[in-house]
Amino acid sequence: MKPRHSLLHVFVIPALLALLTLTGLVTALVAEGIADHFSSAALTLPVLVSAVAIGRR
Amino acid sequence: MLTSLAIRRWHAVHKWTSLICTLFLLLLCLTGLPLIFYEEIEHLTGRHPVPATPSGPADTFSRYRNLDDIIAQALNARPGEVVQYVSFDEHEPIVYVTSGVSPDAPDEDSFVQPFDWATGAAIAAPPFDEGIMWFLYRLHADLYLGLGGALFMGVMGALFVASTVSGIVVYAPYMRKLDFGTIRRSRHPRLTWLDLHNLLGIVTLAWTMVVGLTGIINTLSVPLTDLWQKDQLAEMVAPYRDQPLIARLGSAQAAFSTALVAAPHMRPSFIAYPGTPYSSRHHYAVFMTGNTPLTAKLYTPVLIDAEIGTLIEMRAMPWYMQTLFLSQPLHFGDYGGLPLKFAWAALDLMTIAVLLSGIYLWLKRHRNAPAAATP
Repeated sequence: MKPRHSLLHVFVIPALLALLTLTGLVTALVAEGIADHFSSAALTLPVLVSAVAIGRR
Repeated sequence: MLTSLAIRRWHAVHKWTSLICTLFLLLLCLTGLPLIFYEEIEHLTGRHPVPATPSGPADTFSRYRNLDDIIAQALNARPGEVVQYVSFDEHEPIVYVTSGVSPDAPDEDSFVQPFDWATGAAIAAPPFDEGIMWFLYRLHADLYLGLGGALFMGVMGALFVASTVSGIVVYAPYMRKLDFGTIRRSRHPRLTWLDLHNLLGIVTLAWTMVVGLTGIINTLSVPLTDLWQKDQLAEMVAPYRDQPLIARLGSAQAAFSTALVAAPHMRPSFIAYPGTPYSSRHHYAVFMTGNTPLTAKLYTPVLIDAEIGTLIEMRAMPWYMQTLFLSQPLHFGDYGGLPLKFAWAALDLMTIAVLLSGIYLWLKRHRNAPAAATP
């Protein structure tokens, strides 16, 4: 029987993604230039993570 | 640790809040998608006015035409009307003159004329409140129902936030025995859809919460503006409260120049004429914004005596108006470059997938569903 994960294990990746998303949202609002690229990359991360998970066999 | 009864209750909250708001959320996501690219689409379809010599945002204002001449030209084209607002394009040297039959004429009865600020020439452009993008915007903002529609959408937004929060709670029990990102491809398609629903929902969590919460704040735009008018604006113009509407207007260009001197590190966004909801009956209110990406979204009104052109008062907007101003870019995602907009669009599409998979899971709730996977 597979062991049950702790809550920390269940939420660690979603929490990191959420933190990066929020940082990206705020960064583009308070700075320009390179910050825009960081912001776009941070917001693209959830898309990439989903694509990898869906594409995995 | 939640008891099984508590989990069942959270499930019920997730199911019912989602069921009530899903169709409206789908409408919001579908109409919101093109709205992310509002400016680009307006340019591509030729609906955005283009000055003869585009040269980026207006900066050294002294090299542009006198506003009074442009305003006189606008009034000549609309006999019998009065000016309500003069606004300035954020990206190009374009002045928009809004006029109506009276200063407090409603927006839908006003007429907007764009002018090239450098040459003073009128720019031919279709009306702003027509076309597919305007239709989508109104559908998104208030379902064409005005304040009632906006508040209704706010309630739907609140249900969506409740659905998202309850979704986080019910996510944990499912994932206790699964690794993050697991998509089970079994003979039960419902399991695959459930995993997809959980994965897409949890990775877009922060974005959907921000867009949902800022959307709710945006639906309160009219009541919040009313509050500011009755609170701070009323306080600023209190000494002039009983005066009649000013009969002889002074120079708008002079008021504009006074505001520039009063706030040298800010940019003018628009001038509200006396008698409009954004000013008193005796003042020009020049609304200034900052020069940084953040402060460019925040307005500071500078009150100018509309007869003699002297500075009366300049005061930052209260916290609830600042919150509203910051909510607008954070909701529409139109504050960064194109890459940010594409990321925004991708997250919007993922949210649509979450909504559609939720509908599928509900429709198939009694068919081929192992008990452990029933949401």
